[in-house]
Amino acid sequence: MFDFGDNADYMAMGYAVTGLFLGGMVLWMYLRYRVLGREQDLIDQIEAEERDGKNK
Amino acid sequence: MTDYSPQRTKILQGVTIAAVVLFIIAIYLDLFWVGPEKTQGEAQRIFYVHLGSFLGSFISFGATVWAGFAYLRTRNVSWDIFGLANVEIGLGFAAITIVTGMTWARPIWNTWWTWEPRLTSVAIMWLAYAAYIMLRSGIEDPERRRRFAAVYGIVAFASVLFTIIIIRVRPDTIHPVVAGPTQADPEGGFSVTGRIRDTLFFNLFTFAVITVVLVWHRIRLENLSQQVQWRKIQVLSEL
Amino acid sequence: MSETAHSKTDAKPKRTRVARPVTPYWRVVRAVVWKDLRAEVRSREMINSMILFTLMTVMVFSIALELDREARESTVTGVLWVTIVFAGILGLGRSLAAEKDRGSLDALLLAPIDRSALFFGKMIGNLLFVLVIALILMLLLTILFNISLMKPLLLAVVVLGCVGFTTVGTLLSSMSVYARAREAMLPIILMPAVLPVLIFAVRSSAAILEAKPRADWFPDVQLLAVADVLFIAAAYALFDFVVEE
Repeated sequence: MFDFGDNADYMAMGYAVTGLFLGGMVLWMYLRYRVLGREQDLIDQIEAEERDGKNK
Repeated sequence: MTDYSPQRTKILQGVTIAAVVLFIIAIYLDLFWVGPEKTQGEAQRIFYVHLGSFLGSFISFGATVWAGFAYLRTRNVSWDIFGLANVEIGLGFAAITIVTGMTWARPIWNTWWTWEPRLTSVAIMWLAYAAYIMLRSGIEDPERRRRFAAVYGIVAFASVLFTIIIIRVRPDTIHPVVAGPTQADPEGGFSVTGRIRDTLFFNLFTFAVITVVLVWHRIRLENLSQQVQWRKIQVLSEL
Repeated sequence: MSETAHSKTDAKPKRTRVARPVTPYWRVVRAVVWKDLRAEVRSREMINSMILFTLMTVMVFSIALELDREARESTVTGVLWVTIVFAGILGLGRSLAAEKDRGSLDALLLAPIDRSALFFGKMIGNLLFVLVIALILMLLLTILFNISLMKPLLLAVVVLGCVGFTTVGTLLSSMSVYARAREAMLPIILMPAVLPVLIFAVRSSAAILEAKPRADWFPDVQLLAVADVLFIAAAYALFDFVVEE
């Protein structure tokens, strides 16, 4: 299956960087989603605490 | 709370999965299905993702122009978010284009980089959109930031047009032109026929889909981010 | 785009169209140019710093390339355009920043005139300053580099290049005055946007200086002119949105 000929190393390099960059874009977005999700949870928590404080 | 219609979310999930599947098929076609090119050997296979990712950046930057005009006309903030998402994704694709170009050029031209018109102009294009991000971060008033970003997104498209036109009008470039007329005598051109053509078209389609999917997710991310920002301010003001 | 959760729309400026501008278009342009020129003749704050910058740049270049005639010949167009661009950025940054800091920009915008007339007034004023700098620079290089730059064709290319440069420059500098680090922002956003103009200008002036045949440089000059026209049209259409308050 892997009977690659001339310049196969450069081809591999090209595909590796493509995967790296695409993966980087996806990972970056995923990480930001996670950070935002955590912040949202924190805000929810603070809001809930405040509501409890008012009810007491 | 973010409430998108569940239908839209389902469509987004569908195209996301489709993009992943298409990408896997495209890689299979690039690496195994299509035969190696006679003179360039395996390095020629880079060309499929090279052109595909350029198409991705072209779509994104074109959409940025559209978003700019639409924002200036309607002043709807969603258009600004659409423009920003497109610039960021386009920058990523342009970076892929440049780096894959370099790995191809090393065996074919025997150099990673040369100050040849096409390479110069694509580097400028990248810098122009990096400047778009800088401009956004440098302006504090949000309404003005959106307005200026729209204007700059339109002006910066000159560099994209320049990149596309340059190898068709300048006789001293060595960059191959695969589609359309050229006056040049390129180093490393080849004919696009048979399986090479089919693979190329499949890759172009795949990268177009990937672009749409990434931009869509980026828009949702930006919406969420602005919403969290807004809620944060509210909570802080109540304390 | 109904993708936003809390869909928000920025306020559009109210367009209270004056039925017919009181002052004719070109009178407005002339008045703005004249105002800038008079202010400059009195204060000389812009042109002085541009001339000093030019002098120092040429000094540095000629010290670096002094002993080598070949190096001088092959770099003279580069030196010419690099200096024009950076001196131009110096001037462009000042032109609108001064207007904004004194508060006279608001007064100009309040006047019942076409905004694009204001743009062309500002742009022609900037163009005149840059051209004065370019002429002084060409004279300096002719003397210090001992290479004659005083060719009518080269002059035409310099004028074309400066027109494109100041058009984009005036548009973008009216954005960068609002930025946090305005002096740093202008070159960052201006250079990549204006490079299509600059590349054609540099290449055609190099070919003209080397006395190459017409076929070698004429396409570049044509493209330079096309880029100028496109940028002028874009700036004419977009300036309204930049200065709307």
